[in-house]
Amino acid sequence: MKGKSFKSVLCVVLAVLLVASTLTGCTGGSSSNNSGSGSNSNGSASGEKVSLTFWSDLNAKTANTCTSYEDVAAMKKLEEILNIDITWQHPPVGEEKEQFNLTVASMKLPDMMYYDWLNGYAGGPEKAVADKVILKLNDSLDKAPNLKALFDEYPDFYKQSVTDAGTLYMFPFAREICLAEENKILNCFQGPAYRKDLADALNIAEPRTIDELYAMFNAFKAEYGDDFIPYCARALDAPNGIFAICAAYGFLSDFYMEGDTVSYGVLSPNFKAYLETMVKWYSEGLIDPDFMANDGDSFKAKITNGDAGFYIGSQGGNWVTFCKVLETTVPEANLAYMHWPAGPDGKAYSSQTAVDHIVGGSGAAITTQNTNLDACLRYLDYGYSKEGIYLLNYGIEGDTYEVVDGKVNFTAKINDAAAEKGMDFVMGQYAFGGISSWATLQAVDLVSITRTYPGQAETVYTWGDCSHDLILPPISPTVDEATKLANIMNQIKTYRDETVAKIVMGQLPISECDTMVAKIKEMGIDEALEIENAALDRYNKR
Amino acid sequence: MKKDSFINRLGKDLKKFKYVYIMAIPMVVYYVLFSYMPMYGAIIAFKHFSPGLGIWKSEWAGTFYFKMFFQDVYFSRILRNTVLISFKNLLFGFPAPIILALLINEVRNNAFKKTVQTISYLPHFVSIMVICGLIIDFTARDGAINDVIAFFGGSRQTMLLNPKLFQPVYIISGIWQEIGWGSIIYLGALTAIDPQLYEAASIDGAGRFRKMAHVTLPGIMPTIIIMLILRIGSIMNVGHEKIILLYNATVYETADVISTYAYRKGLLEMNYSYSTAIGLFNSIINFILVIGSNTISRKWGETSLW
Repeated sequence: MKGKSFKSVLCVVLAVLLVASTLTGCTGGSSSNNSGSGSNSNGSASGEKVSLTFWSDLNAKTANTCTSYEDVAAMKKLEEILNIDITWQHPPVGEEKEQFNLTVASMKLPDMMYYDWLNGYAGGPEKAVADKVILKLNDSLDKAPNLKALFDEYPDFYKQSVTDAGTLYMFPFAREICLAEENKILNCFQGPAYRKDLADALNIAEPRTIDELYAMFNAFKAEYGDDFIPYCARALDAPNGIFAICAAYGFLSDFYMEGDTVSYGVLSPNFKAYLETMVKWYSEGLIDPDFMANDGDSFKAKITNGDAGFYIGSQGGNWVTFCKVLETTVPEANLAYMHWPAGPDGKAYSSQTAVDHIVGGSGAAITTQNTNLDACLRYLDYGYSKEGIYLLNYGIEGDTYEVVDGKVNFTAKINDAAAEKGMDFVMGQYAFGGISSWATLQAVDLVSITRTYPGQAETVYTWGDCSHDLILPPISPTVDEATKLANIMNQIKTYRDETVAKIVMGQLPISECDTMVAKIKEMGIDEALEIENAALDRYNKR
Repeated sequence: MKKDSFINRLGKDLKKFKYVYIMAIPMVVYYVLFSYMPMYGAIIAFKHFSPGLGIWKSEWAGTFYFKMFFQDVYFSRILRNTVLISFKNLLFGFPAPIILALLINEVRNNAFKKTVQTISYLPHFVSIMVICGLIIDFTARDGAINDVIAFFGGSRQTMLLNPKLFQPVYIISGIWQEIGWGSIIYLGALTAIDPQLYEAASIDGAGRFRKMAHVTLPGIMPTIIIMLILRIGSIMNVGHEKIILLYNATVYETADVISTYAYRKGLLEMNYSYSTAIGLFNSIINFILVIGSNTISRKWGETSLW
């Protein structure tokens, strides 16, 4: 009797568990659907509050203090001013790409989406329009007077915002820095840094060439032991990866400008020389043996524990962050930024792409499923008005910034907090200026007022002191070409990454390098280059 | 006697076994929602799927994506890895819980028995994210496993960067995680063996080992066969979450399998049709395998799934 009742209880418990597990699956799905369709019911008459939905990644710096752009002061203010209520849809950090692709595939689109349409959408922006994901905005430009005014004032800005076919597809993130030639250097925010204190102790001056760098690594190794990592890298891709070094050899890892035409990294005549250097460095223990396994955290840990002598990275995210941590972990450390090293031909290049691009590729697009086009245009266009630019860049006047004699300054509240926690950390909850890209014009004077860490403002002059001839302009292939290009290049990139990693780590002989060139030709690199060069021609004719 | 109509019989059956049917509802709903409904989407393997046009309006592609897959430079590699990893998993992973169940069955001390069982279940309940975090830490250059190797004079290396070690790490960690959970079903089958058989065997002079070979193993053989058929049916379903969390470009050579490749093609490169074609190919092979193994088992043994 007792046994039987126990069994029946067990049955019920199991049944409940099963039902519960299926139900949780269902609720998870339906709640996200609700957030998508919630906007449909709202009216669009002016004067009434309009509700819109907006998909965007939550940038890492804002994520420090906020869980949604809802909480960012400038965004709150913007909703108030325009009488528009935005429901934000943020993908989990680290899953942006998958979530974006899933959202597009499901075709349950919000009103607006902020994404890197130029590089992130497979097939490029023309394909996104052809796929009926986002709207062509050319005819709506009259309803966006502020953006139109900027386009009229800066023809280059317009040229970079449209495709070859002249399609305007987004409200782009734009850098005021790049509107004027003399300011462009301020955008050079990637470059190498080394432990100057350790080098000074060995009487080594700032290395300016690959050979001097090699000498410094060897000296570090000899002096500081086998556990010391002379060159800390994170996988392959620039800026943290070992492909950043190939700039010294006059090419970039992906497509780059070889004179007037587009070429591909592996095809560069210097590719083998570069790879041989990497093999030599790795086999001599100068590169972190685990560089392929490093993620952001382990990369940071090795540098901030004082275990590494040199790395290449970005300014705010890497250099300032590392310096701040090093102040407490290794107080005597001096992590100094240095010039991009020159290669065999004596010329230094930067591996940073898009340095002089006014439009980076990201922007806010309006989807085909938008519920209120006029409201979307009104909302996005405000970001390009003078008030909008100030609001999104600096936050709330009087609270986070003040204008003195036409010059913007952050208030004491911001500057004091920034001195303690860092500017990015503090500003993340107020605005976007200097924090992240957004659909607005990123103000040029942010450079002087946000780069407040000692030496930070000067980094650009050191990192920018090199040739930028390798960088491609923001070209875009046609829809048909883009699909073909994506298929070819995905294949080649997988193969290239795998082979380079193995050659560098000694799992494959260096002779494999020649096989590699033959193999990527077989995989269709020539066709890809034809497409890229055709796109370049069209861009030059825009 | 006139035969009842189907509806009639169903009605009677429903009445008679109504609780059984109620209990079956969640599972039926689960399979309809997550297995049958998505089958409709498999059409896009034969279409140039464009999200904006939807499934029906997208252009037909015929077998374009299947041809593309068979001509893919990585086709033979991912197929080989999938089969190899599955096969090794079957070879080493399948007997492990059986052996554990037999061993636990021989233990007479109840407290020790329960402790072993509980401890060996535990990893099953830990999220795969955490498990993979543990594996990465343990196999890292300064991780626990390397500490042991270094202690015995070996040289340290980050195991997940070595293509030769990826599969062993994957399979051994899989055994560690699932051995306890997998043994439950065999322990259950063991309790169903008639104790009289053991008594008879003892009287005939059989020792522990002979009893295990001649009473215990034949007793749980039907369960083993069923589990084996089910296992073979999913031989091409290598756990892609775990591989995605563990692999990197250096070990693609031995780690990249059909499902991870489909994931990269579909979710990262937005090539939905291609990804679906790969997935469909995978499912068809699984289907053939499960039918095949069931047929073989029915022919040569008494046990089969249907």
